[in-house]
Amino acid sequence: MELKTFDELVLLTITDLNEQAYGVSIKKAMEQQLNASLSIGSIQSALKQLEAKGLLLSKYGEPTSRRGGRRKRMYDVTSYANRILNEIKAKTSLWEDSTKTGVNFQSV
Amino acid sequence: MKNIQQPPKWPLRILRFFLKDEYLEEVEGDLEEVYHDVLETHTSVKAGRMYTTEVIKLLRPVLVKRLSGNQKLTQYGMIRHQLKIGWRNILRDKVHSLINVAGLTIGTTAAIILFIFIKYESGFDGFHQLADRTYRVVQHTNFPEEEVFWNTTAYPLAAAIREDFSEVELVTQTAGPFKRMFSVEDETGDINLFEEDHVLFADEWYPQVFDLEWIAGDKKTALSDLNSVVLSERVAARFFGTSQSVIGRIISLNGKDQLKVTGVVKNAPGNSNLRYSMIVPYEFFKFHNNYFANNWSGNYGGTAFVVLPDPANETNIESRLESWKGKYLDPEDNQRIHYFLQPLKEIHTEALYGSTIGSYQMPATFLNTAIFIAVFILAIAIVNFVNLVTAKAGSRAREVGIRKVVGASKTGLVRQFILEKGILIAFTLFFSIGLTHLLLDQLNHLMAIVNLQLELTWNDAALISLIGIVTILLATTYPAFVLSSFRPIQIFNKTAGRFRGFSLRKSLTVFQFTIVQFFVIAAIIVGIQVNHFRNQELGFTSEAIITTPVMDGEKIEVLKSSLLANPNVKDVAVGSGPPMAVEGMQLGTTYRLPHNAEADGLQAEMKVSDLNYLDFYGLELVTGRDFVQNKHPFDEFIINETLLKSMNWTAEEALGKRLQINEGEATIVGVVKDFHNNSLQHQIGPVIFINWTFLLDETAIRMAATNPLALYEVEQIWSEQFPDKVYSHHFLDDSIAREYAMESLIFNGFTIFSVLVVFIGILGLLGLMSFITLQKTKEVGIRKVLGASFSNIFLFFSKEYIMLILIAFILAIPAVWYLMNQWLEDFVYRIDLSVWMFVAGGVLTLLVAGMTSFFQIAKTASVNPVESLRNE
Repeated sequence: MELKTFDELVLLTITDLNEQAYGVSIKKAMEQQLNASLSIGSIQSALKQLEAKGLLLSKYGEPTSRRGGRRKRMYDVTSYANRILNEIKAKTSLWEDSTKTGVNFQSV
Repeated sequence: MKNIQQPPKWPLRILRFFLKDEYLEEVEGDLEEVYHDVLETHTSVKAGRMYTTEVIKLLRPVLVKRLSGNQKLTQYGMIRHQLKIGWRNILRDKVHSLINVAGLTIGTTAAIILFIFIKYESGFDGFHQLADRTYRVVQHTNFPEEEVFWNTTAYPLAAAIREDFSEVELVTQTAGPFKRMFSVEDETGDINLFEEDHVLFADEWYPQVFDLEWIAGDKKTALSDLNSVVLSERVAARFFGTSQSVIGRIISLNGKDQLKVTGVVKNAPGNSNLRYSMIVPYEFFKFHNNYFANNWSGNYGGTAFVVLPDPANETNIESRLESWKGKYLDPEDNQRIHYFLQPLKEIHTEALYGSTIGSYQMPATFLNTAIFIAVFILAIAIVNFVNLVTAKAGSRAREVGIRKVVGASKTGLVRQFILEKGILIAFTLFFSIGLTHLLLDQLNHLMAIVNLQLELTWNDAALISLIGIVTILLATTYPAFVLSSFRPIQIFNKTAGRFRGFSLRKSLTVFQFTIVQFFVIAAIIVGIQVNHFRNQELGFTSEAIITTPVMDGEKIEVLKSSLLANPNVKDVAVGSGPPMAVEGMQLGTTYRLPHNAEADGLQAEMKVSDLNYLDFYGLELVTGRDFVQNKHPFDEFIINETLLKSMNWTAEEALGKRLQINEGEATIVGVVKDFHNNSLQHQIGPVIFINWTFLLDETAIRMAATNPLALYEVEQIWSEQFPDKVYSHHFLDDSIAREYAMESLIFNGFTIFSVLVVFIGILGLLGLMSFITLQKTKEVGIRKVLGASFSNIFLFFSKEYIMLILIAFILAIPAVWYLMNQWLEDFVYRIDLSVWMFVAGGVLTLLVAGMTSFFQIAKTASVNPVESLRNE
């Protein structure tokens, strides 16, 4: 499955947050990582699409007063997502290996 | 938390509008959390602005609601598709669609109109708040030979009941309505004369019992003063040119009594039996008619109404009245007079007591017939629809096959067909409503004689919806099931021509034609009876006669001679009224031999007549002679044959005999041949002519010409004699015809509805035939090739229908026989049913059906086989 870079980042961030992933925490982590400001809309639409593709699982968490008494929705990656991420990782490491052995695509 | 700032409200509202509901809680929470994060480093204004921006950025396809829910979306598409297919089907066969819609529109329109009529006629006087507890006191009088039913009672009755019956909540006494003359002075000082037919005298309790709509004046006090008058809007406008601010103005009754206007009420509604154009206090009537108002033995047009606290008390009160009346009635009257309570709402439909003055009656049997007609006309239209749709089912078979093959369920198909036809029916219903609206006006106009005021209101919405729903259910369900039950394997096996439901279609056709023939035969019988009725020898002449009142007995001779001097006048006679009672106006008396007791007196009608009366009306003397002089006291009688029979005399024996009537004793000098002194619904009764000088109230004038100029000259002559009176005249023929208004109405109604029924039936047959002939074009081609003649082919198509019509005919006969005999029983002068009437109806139906199919069949039969067999 092909993933957009942004989606890939979202998935990675969720894995990274380790069971503490919900809308705002994902947003903050990604902003920090990318050093750019992101809208809630961009995060939410990515989350919904990923969930629909079966890459994310979600359940309601605890309500907090900071959220006006509304519950969080906690996200976790599925094993299917893990497999995809691993594939990507494998590809990337292959890239890294190939650059080490001196293949230069620009010259090919 | 150091800050209790809240995010702005309105972006949230927008968010809730567009965001999918299931995401709302999560996203709202995120937004608020971010807002509070921002607040820690920024001002609340900045935070609010960022909040708004975030909301706007949430407008993404993934997160936004669908235009409608998923489920609805598929249904909507399906319905749209089905409607489109339905519409195409309507267009594809315009003739059939038109026949379908036309038949059904006629059926539903007729049903709606009839039901509105029935609702109107059965709801008379129901609008009064106390209607359920209000009763009219009616009187039964037992004479030795018959029982007479009165809707009026003695005048002192109400006051006496009020006095003695504490358990009766309200009692009111009325007199009339009567005809009265009024004079009104206008601004310029001129005196205008008016005659009003329906002047009601009512006591002060009347407005409490009946709901009059007061425009001006106080209902509590308006009738308490003796010399007051309450006008209806119409009369106010007639007298004063306006119904505004007429309170306090003066009108004078009969040129002498001054009445002050104390109130204005709305005109009496059409659906009320209690007619009034103005109301004068009953006390006024009592004051001026002392004798009548205190007389317990007479019955002169007074009515008492009572309101009971509980309708269950009706029989209690009746039995108390029975034992109580002896307190006032003399012993003889107490024996024969009995009082009963009649519910207000039954006054209009209970024929026993006759109609009240100025109103009319609609017997319950007539209303039941109307319900019956409405149901059957709707039924026949529905049957038609079902028949045509199922007949055409074959042409939809392939569509059903394909649909089933691609996975349509049977219920889905049923739904499709119900929807498709249901929409068509809904459209016809809208047509019907428009048509009804137009026709009701016409109907009201046609029946202005009874002041019919039918209208289509929102209150009828429920009724019309009910008719619509019933029609849709009955007309669509069966065809839908037939259509959806086709099995694809059969359809594509080319056996689709044989579909189920054909035997049912046959029985529906039989049902339809049974009704058609029922109506045809019934219409023939009604027509013959009404004709018989109208052409009945009355026993006197009525052509070209006008009648006009005599206002002053002194002037009779002058009036007669000046009328006879006019060339337009052929002859003049004066009497107490025409030979036949019109509008129930008869002078009643009792007769007996002078030595017999008064209680043995028999009922008779008395007619006062001048010397010319018998000749004038062509009344034939069997024996004896005419009067030679009118005098007071009278001394001669002429009797009719019916009276003769009741005394068991021969004509010759009667001459010279003395007879005693209520008004005095005299000698019989002649016997006149029987003539219809009562309208034809009733038997001829005993009649006594009297040579009196009193009660010569009516001049009858035989005109040589009845053009407006001639009539105007008569008016001039009359007005010369009675300068301060209002002239009016009636044609005797018209007055007599008015006695048969109800019979004419029944006849016209029956004719119209029979024509409609036949028309719908023909439409159905036409549709069926055109379809069947089309379907069998090839078969006809082959038959022709093999040598079939035109008549063979005609028979081939029509023999089945001839069979069905014959079966229907046999089924219709007993029903018509039974019901028409019932109807005829109400007539004294009636025809007898005979076989030819039935045969005529059957033959007529066959002929019409044959002619209808003939053209369809001829079209198919004349096609050259080369043409019909080529297209394979």
